[in-house]
Amino acid sequence: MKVLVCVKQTFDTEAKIELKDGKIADAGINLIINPYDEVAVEGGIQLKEKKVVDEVVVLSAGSDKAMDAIRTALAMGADRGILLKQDTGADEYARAIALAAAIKDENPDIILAGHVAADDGSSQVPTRIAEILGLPHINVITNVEVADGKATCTCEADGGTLVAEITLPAVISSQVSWNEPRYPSMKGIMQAKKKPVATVDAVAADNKVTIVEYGMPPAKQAGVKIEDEPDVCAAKLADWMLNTVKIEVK
Amino acid sequence: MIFGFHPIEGGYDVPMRMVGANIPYEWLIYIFMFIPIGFLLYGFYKRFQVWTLAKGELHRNDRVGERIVSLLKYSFAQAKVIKKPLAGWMHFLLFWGFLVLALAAGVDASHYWLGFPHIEGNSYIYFSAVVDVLGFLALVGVLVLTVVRYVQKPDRLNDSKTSDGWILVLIITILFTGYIIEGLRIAAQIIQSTTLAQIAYEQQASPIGWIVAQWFVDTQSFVNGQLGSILMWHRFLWWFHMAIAFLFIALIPFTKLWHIVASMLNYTFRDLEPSACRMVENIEEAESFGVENIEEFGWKDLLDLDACIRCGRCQENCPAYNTGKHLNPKITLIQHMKEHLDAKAPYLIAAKADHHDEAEMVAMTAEAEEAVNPMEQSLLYDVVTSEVIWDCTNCRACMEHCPMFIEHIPKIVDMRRNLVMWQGDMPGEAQAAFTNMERNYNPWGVGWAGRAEWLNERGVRDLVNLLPEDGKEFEYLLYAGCAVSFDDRYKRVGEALVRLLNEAGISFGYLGTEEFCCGDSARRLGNEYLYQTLVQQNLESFNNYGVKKIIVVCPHGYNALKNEYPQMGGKYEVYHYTEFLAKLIAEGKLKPGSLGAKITYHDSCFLGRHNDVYDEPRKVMAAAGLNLVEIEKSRNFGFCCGAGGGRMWLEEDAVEGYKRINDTRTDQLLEPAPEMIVTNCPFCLTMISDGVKASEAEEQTKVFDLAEVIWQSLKK
Repeated sequence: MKVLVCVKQTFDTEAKIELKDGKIADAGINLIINPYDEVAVEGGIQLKEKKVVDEVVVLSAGSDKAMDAIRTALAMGADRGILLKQDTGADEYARAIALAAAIKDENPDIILAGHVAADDGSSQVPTRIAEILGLPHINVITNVEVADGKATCTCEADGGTLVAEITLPAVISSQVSWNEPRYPSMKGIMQAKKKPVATVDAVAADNKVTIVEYGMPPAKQAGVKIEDEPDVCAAKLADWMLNTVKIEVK
Repeated sequence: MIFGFHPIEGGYDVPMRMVGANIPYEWLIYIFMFIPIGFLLYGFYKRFQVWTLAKGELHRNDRVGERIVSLLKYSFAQAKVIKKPLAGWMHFLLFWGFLVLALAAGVDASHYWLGFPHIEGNSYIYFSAVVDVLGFLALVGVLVLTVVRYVQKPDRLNDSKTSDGWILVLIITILFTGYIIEGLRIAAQIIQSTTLAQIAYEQQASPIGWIVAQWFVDTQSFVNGQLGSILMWHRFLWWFHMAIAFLFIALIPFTKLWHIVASMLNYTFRDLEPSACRMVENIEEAESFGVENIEEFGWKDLLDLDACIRCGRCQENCPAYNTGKHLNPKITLIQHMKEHLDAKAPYLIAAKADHHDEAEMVAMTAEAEEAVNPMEQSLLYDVVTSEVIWDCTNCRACMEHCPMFIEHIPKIVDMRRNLVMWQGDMPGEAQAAFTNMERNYNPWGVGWAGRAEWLNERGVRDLVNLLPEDGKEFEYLLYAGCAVSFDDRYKRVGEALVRLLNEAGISFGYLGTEEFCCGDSARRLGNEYLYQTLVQQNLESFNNYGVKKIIVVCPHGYNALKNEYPQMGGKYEVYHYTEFLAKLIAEGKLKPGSLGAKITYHDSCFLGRHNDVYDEPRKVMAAAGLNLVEIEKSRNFGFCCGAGGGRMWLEEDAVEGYKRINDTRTDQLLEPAPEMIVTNCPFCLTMISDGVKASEAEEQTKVFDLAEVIWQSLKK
C-alpha cells in the first residue's frame, strides 16, 4: 500500500510579513513545511511504522526552494519525493490540477494533505484533488486507522467528533491535533540526501483567480484605560461607549 | 642467630630497628612479595585493556606541567578530598599514615635488596616516631570512617556493599596487627635487654608500640617465662601481617582499592579546560553522533568509571536526586555504566583480539545466556535510561564536588547527542525548542524580526547604538540574548542594564536582528548541529562589526561565548554583566545608591560553578548597601533552579513526596524571610519567581535581577 502526502512550502508562522512594491516581501523569511501538511507527513510515516503501508511519497508543487520542504519530509522518514515545478503564483485551481495529474501517475492508495495552508488559508486544494480524481474525501481528521481497504477516520465536528469509514483510495486531509510531527535526526537528514526526488514540470493550467491587491491589517489601536472607583468607572465606560464609540442602543 | 632480639651489630648502644630479627626465613618475604606485585600488574593490565576499548577521541596529553601539579596537589595534598571536612580529613590521615608505613616498609626492603644502610641513632628515633604516630592516626582515620559508614550512615553512602565492610576490616586488621607486632617486639626487647635504659629509646621511637608493649610485659618484673610466647606470637603475627598486607596489594585492581591508582590517573588526566561541552569537529562529515555504546566514549570517560569510589558527594548535591528524579549521578549514571562496562568488556576484548577467538566468544555468550547479554543491552535505554539522561540540569554540582574530577556532564551530553541527532528520540518540548531556535533563533519561537523591539517597548532605543541601523563606533558589544529580547519580564532587566551602561558612560553597540541565540540550550540538550549553526551565525555578525569585547546578560550565553565559542575560533574578551558592573563600581564610574534591604542571593550555576564568579555580584550588592543573608546552599554549594542544561524548555513533574527543583530552591531562598531574592540569570529569575508564586510569598518577597536592583538604587 502506498501513501502520498501533498506538502506546501509556506512562510514560517512567526515571520514578519511586509509588503514591498505591493507584493509580500520574502527576503529573510524562513520557509517551512505548512504545519498542517507536516502533520500529514508524520501521519503517513506512522502508518508505515505500523506496517500498514509500504511506501510514503512526498509531493510538492512550487519553485526549486520547495526542494527543502521535500528534503525535510524525507529526513522525517518519507521514502521518496516528487517536486512539481510550478509558478508560486498558481491559484488553487491550477495547483490542484497539477497535483492531481501527478497523483494519478503515482496511483497511491491514500492521499494525505493538511486541510489548510498556513499562508493563504484557502482550504481548497485537497478537496479539489478529490474532485478531479473522483475519489472519496474526508476532511479535518484527527486520527486514521487503516484496515481491509478502508480507512476509519476520526474527524473534528462542531462541538465533538465523528468517526467515519472511507473506502480507499481516498483523499484524507488532516487537522494539526492528529499528531506531533517528529524532529528530523541527523541520521534522517543524512539518509534523506540519498533518497530519490524526481523533478517534473507541472501540467499547465491558467489561474482562475487573480489577486488584485495585498494589504496589511490595520495597526492595532492602543486601548483605553479607565482607572477610578468601580461606580465611577462604570459611568465613564458607559459614557465612552455612547459618545466616543457611538454604540447604537436599541 | 636470628631468634629473639639479642643485640646484634653493635647491640643496644646504637638505637636502631633490627629487621628480620626473630623471623626465621625472613628472606622468603622478598620472594613472596612478587606474588601480590604480579597480581597488581596483571590487574593493571586488565584495566588498561578495558580503557583502551574506548573509541572516542580525547586528548589529554597537553600541559604536562599542570598535570603533574594536579597529580601532586590532589593525590598527596588530598586537596579535593578534604573539602568534606570530617570524612575528608580522616581519609587524609588514612592516606598519609598508610603511605608512610608502606614507605617505611620499603626502607626495610631496600636494606635487604640494595644494601641501603640501616637508619641508626637519632635519625632512627625521629624517623620511627613519625611513622609510628602517622600510622596510628591512619588507624584513627579508618575507625572514624567506619563509624561514618555504619553508625552515622549519611544518605550519600546509601549503597554500602559487603565488600566495603571487608575492605575496612582488612585495613583495620593490617594497621592493628602492625602495632601488636611492634608491641610484642618491644616487649621482647625489654625482656631481653639487661637494663631498661638500654631500650628506653623505643619510648620515643615507637611511642604507640611502647604503650602496646606494656600489655605484654610487666616492665618491673622481667618475667622470663613470658618471653617464649611473646616471641612465638610475634613470629606468627608477623607472617599474618605480611600475608594480609600482600592480600591488600593483590586486591587493589579487583576491588574498590583500585581508586588508589585510578584517582592518580584521573588527577593527571583531568579536564583542564574551562567548563565547556566537548567539541564535535567536522560535524558536517560526521557519520555518527554522540555515544550510543559505552565503548564509544573517550578513554578518560572509562577511566572515570574506575575512579568512582561511591563517596556520594555528587548525589548529595544533585538537584535531580534531591527532588526524587531518576538521575543519581553516583548510582544511576556512573555505577550503572561501570557495571555495564565490566560486563561488556570481556566480549569486546575477545572480539578485538582476533578472529581465532570467535569460538571463545560463542562459548562466553552461551555461558552468559542465563543472564542479560551485555552486548545486547542498550546503554541509552537499558543501562542509563533516557529518563536519567534528560533529568540532568547540567548544574555541575556533581563535577564540582567529585573528589575524583569525574566528568559527568560531558557523558550526559554525549548520550543526549545520540538520542537527539541519531535516534531522533527527545521530549516533545525539546523538539519545539529546537524548531524555534532553528527558525527564529530563539527558544521562545517569537519572530526573529522583532528581536530589537524591546528597545522601543522599554523606551531605551535612543540610549542604544543599534549597529545594523546606527552603525556607530563602539568599544563593547552588548550581547543581550534571547531572554532580554523576547521574555517580557526580562526585557526590564535589559532596560536596567542599558541605563546603567549609559550612566557609566560606556560605549557599547547592540546587534539587534543580527544577534542570534547563543545556542547553549541546543548544545546541552544534545543538538550540537543546531548549536554550531547558531554559533557560526553569531561569529559572522561579531566579525562583521569587528567585535572585540562582549558584555553578556545571560550566564548561559556568557558561558557559551566565553568558554565554548573559542572552540569554533571565536575568541573575545567576555564579561558577564555582574563582573562588568563590579568593574565599573571599582573604577568609580558607577556609584549605586544605598538600598539597605534584606536579601538572599541565588548563585546561578553557569555564573557560579561553571565560571567561579561568586565575588563580583556580591561586591555589587554590597556597594548598593544590600543586606545579604548568605543561605546554607550558596556559592559552589548553590542549588540549581532547575532550568540549566536546556531543562528550561522541558516540563518537570514533581515526584511524589518531593517538590519540584525550583520550589525546593525557592524554599531555601525564602528561609531567612528576605525582602528580595536577587538572581543574575533569566532562567533562574523565571524559575524562582514561579517558586515564590507557588509559595504565595509574593507579597513579602520580590524577585529581581541584580541589574534591576542596581538601577533601582541609582534612581532612588
